[in-house]
Amino acid sequence: MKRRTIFASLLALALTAGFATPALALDDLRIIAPAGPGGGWDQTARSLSEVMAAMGAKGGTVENVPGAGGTVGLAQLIDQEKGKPNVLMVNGLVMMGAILTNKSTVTLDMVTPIARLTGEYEVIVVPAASELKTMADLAAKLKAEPGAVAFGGGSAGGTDHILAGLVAQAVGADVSKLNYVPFSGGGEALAAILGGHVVAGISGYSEWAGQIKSGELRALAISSAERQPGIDIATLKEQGIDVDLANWRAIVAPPGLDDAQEKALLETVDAAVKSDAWKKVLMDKNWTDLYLPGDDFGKLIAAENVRTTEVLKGIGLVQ
Amino acid sequence: MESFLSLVDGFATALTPINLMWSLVGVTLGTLIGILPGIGPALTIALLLPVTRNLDPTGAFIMFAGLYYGAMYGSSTTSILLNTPGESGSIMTAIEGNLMARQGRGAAALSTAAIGSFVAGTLGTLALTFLAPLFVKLALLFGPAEYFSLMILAFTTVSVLLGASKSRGLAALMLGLAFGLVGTDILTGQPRLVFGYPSLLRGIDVVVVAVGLFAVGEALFMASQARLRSAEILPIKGSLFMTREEWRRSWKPWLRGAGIGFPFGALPAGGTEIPTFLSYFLEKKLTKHPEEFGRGAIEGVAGPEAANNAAVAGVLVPLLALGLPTSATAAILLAAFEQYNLQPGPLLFAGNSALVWGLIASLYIGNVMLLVLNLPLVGLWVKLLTIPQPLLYGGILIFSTLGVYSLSNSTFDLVLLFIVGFIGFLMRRHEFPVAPCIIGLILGPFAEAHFRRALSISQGDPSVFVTHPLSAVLLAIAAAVIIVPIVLRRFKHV
Amino acid sequence: MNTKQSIAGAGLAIGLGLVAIASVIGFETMQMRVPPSYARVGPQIFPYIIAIGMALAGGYIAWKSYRGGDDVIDDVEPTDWKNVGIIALGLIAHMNLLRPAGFVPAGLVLFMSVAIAFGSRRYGRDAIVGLFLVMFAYIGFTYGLGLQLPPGILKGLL
Repeated sequence: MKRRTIFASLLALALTAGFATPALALDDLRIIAPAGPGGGWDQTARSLSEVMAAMGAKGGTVENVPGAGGTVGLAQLIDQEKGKPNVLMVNGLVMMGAILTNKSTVTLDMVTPIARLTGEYEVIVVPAASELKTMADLAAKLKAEPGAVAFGGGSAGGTDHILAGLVAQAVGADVSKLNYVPFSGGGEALAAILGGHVVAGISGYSEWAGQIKSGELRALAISSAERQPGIDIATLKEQGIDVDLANWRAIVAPPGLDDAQEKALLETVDAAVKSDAWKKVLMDKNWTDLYLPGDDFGKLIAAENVRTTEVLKGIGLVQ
Repeated sequence: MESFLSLVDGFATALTPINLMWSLVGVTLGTLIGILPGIGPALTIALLLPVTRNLDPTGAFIMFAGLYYGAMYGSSTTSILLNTPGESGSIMTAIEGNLMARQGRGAAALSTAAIGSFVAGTLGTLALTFLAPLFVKLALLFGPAEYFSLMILAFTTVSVLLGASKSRGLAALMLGLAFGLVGTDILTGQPRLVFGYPSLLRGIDVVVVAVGLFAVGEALFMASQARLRSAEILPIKGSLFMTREEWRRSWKPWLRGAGIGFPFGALPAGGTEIPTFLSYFLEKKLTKHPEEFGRGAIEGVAGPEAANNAAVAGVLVPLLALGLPTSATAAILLAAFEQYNLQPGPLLFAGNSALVWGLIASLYIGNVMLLVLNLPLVGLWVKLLTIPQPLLYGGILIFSTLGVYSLSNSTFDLVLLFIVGFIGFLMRRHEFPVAPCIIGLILGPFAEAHFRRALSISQGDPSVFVTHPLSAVLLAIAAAVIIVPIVLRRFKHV
Repeated sequence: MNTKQSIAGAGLAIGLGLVAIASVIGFETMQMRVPPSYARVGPQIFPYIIAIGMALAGGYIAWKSYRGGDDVIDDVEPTDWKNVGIIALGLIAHMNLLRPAGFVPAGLVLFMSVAIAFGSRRYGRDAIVGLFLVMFAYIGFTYGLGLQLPPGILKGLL
């Protein structure tokens, strides 16, 4: 209980401070969403901008810079926004894969990490009629004959692909023989799974939650470390596969900021994330709170980079 | 019967004054953005999402659906009058429609497009109301192998568009296919033909190529030809609306267009463009006036326009029944459902039947509104042609560049637009057909991705294309389309 | 120089241009690094097929234009290159002005260039119509739809 009261008082402090703190007086704050309107990064940017605007930040415009898994936006942040203390950009795990597969010259160690904000866990599903009943069945088949398990999912090198590689690695299958079939967005992967054209599918939980609830898809596992409230799906870890993966979304700032500027941005984001308005956003959108600010987030980026590079090399997408 | 009763309830929802107003707002806005090249329903709905967050979801979806339909109505207007398609689903309309307009039959072309859209939109909505479960099953039968075979069938439509010079038609097709290669390879994530430009990784958008080849290419060509500039285009020759003869020649293409468009829309990855290719091909093959194709045949407007509207109704089948988006606009609509914490699929029909059936009923109403809105405007639209050319083409380029820039807020796309526009100018100047280029760009990447997916799933076994029954049937039809005319010609000569 | 000859030259140039594009596609594709795949057909096969197809079509056009015949690129109306150049300049100015100067001035420059290329000499009327249209588009799309068009020098005014 004690933790909660501290938390509540911090929240109250942040809220009252929110209106007065100079950190929020950042002029003409801009948030870059390195994707088109409507997607997850765009929604994150817009929600954050709205929350910040309600707390008194000026400007708060969202700028969409789509392309190449977000690396076009990343390049803009690093080249054109360098040293600007009033620019933020949304990013996430997907960008890491895109940087590696595109052999991008700009990388995530060049930016100023601010905080991981939210995340979503991945599910591994099979069609309701599949003979594979459990994750163990899938693992056994994957190990015996990796080519026969065609996984359908999102873009090559994206989070879904990374999870397929990590699972193959963890169950002792030959990762280089992974048969992952990328589909472009717009539900093509879902159609291929519902129609039984691929053996299994991987995606963020919320995208297929409806089909899982209605029983058209059978969820074999979820990629979170622990069971998620309200989601009756066993984790990979529970089922003896030592993998956990969150498709996280975060906020970063341009390179070349001095300590005071970095601190100001950190405080602004911190105040916003701890506001009631942000909590409402998380609840409305079903986003899992994975707030992790500052240096810890920097370390996470480094660790995820090592893991992603390793698995994509194993798959053969990156050399 | 159950659907029928639900539909009656749906009408009760859709006919409330507030929902009627949303429908009207949607169809009007849709018509407007449909007319503007480059600005499509997907972008508009995406931009409206934050604005509509606090609205009642039923009203918002009624507006979005009206907007989607309206865009298909509106896009035919500029295709026909200015040879500048507002959406890629109306590219085929521009071919015969613009030729009709140049002969003073623009109003008839607009009318057959509007009435055809109404007929097909209503038939499509009927199919959505009563046959949705059937089409859902059909849609799921299509895996990568079937899609590849379908693309091969669609490629046969190019044959009627190659024009008098086959080598030029093929060159245009290859150019379109080459445009389609640019960007990240979907199956391996490797960059292809990007020449070191990160902005090219996303590929060349169909909108950039369509607007470039049509709007910019057309403007450059018109400016370069003193004769064309001085040539008087008759806004109206003969009666304003369709003649009895034109009615007689339009109704079958409407029905056929609807029949092709609806199932295509229902297919994941079907979209609104491919059925218009097939419809145009079919009408050209079936017409009793083959000599008019290439000079302004009304069938070539009636069929594709019906097809793209029926396809919109088709898109809603997998979206509502399975939560499966099959077009860019549907993907945004799915995001809209998520915004309201609604999950499309069987649970939506059970849990939010008022919304679903209100939405379906609103489609019938929206179609009527669009017809009422568009038919009287036909006379006004053709007056567009009386605007002095310097102002008219100036305006077209303003909206073209606006639409292309807003795709991704990038001036790089404007550079691409300029290059493609110049290519479009050269193609017009040297009588290369433009349509094969667009077909190549749309079908090429689909065909390749599905071919390789099918082979990946079969672990490299190419027999999947003939062992899957549906795929084999589609390939057989494609073969027949190519071989039968050749055989018939032989017989005639013997 | 008679028209017939220069037109055949254009056909030759277009044909050879297509062959050149085809070689670029072929060459670029050869440089690709291909990850292993179950499909056996990697990301290189389709580009090769398209490059070969384009080279054949281009080669045929070039050869026909060189030799003459019924399939040559012929009979083009005299082209007013000056007008094409004016619109091209307008488009280039537009893409360079859009971000620094903003949507309204850039659009106005483009509008005027097109109007001039289409032979209008009523500069005053064109400028007024153009300005109205561009402002209308800017205000409509920025406030109506929330599109992000660059405000440029008019920042804060509109």
